[in-house]
Amino acid sequence: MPPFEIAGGLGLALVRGISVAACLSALGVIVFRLALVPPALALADAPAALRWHRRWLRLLWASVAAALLAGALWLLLASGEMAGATGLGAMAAAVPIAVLHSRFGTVLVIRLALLAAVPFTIATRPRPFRLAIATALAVVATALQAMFGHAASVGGTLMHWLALSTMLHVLAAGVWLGQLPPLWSFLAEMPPTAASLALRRFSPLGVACVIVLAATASAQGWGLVGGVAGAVGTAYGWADLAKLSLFAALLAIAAINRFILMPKLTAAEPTAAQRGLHRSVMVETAVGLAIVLTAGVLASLPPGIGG
Amino acid sequence: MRQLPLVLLCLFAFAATAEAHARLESASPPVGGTVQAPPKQVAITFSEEVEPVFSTIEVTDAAGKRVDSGKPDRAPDKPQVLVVGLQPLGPGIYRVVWHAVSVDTHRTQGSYSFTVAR
Repeated sequence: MPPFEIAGGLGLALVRGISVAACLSALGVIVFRLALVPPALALADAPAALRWHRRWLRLLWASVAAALLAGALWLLLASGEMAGATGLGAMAAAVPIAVLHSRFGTVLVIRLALLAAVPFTIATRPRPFRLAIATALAVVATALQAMFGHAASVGGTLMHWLALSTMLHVLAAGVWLGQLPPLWSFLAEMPPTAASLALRRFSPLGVACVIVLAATASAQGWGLVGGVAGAVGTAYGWADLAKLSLFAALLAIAAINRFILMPKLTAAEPTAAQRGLHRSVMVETAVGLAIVLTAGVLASLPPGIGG
Repeated sequence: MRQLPLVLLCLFAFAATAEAHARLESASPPVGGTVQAPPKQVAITFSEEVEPVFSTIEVTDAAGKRVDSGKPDRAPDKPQVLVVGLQPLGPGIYRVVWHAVSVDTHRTQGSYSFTVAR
C-alpha cells in the first residue's frame, strides 16, 4: 500500500468531510421540503404530518448546527496548517489572518454565514417563498465548495472549468445524498401511499443527480489520479478507488430500492416493504456519508498526476 | 440539451491537466544558475496560486546571513508568482528556502541555490 501523507492529518480531512456532509444535508433537507414532499405530505393525516414537520425542523437545525461547528473547527485546523502552527493558541491566532487574507478563510466564513441564515429564513413555518430563499442560500453555500479544493488553485481559465465541474458535483451530491435523511424520517412516519408518492418523485431526481455525479467525478477523478499508474500506485488513487467502490455500492442500494422494494409498496402487504425501505435508506445514508468523508481525505492528498 | 455532451466533454478535457499542491515551476535567478549582475529580487513561479500571507522566501549568503527584505508578496496580476526583495548582493553563492501555501491551503517547501558571478 502506498504511504498516505494526508496534508494536515486525518483529523483535518475528517472535519472537512463532516463539514461538507452537513452542508449537503442542509441543502437536501430544504430541497426535499420545497420540491419533493408537498403532494405526498397532503396524503397523510394531520397528526402524522405535524410529527414529521417537527422531525424535519430538528433535522434542519441539526444539519446547520453540525455544518457550523465542523466548519468552525475546519477553519481553526486549516488556518493552523497554513500557518505551520502546532499549539492551540498559535492556531487560533492564525484564524483572523486566514479569514482576512486568504481565499479559504474568507470563503468559508461566507459559507457559514449563509448556512446560519437558512433556519432563520424558514423560522417554524416553511412557506414556499421562505423555502425558496433558504434553498438559494443553501445552494450558494454548497456551490462555494468549488473555491476550496484542488480545482480552486490552478488559476486561469482552467480553474473556471474545474470550478464549474466541482459546483455541479457538490450540488448533485446535496440534492441526492442530502435528501436521504429527510426521506428516511418520512418513511418512518408516513403511510405507504404517501411514502410511495415521495419515492416516485425522488427517483427521477436521483437518477439525474447520479448522471451528473458520475460525469463530473470521472472528469476530475481521472484527470487528478494520473491514469492507471496513479490509481494503483498512489494514496490518492487508492482513496479514489475506495470512493468509486462506495459509489457503486450506493448505486446498488438505490437500484434495490427502486426496482425491488418500491413496487412492493403498492402490493397487498406494503408495511413490510416500507420497513425494508426505511432500513435501506438508512444504509444508503451511511454509505453516502462514507463517500463524502472519503472525498475529504482525497482533497487532502497530493493527486497522482502531481506525483 | 444538445449542448450537454459538449459541456461534459469540456469538463473532461479541462480536468485532465489539473495539478494540486504548489510546486516550483521556475525561478529568477534560476535554480542552480549563475547571474552576472546582482539581482534585486527573487521571484518564484509556482504551479498554483499561492497565499503570500502564509508563504515565506528566505535568502541567505554563504555565511548563513539573511539577505532578503522579509515577507514575500505576489507579483502584480500573477497570483502564482511570489517575489521577495534583496539587499545589495556581492559575488557568492546564495541559498533560497521557500515555504508556499497554495490557495487550497496545502503547504509545500523546497530550497535551491544560485550564484552571483565575480
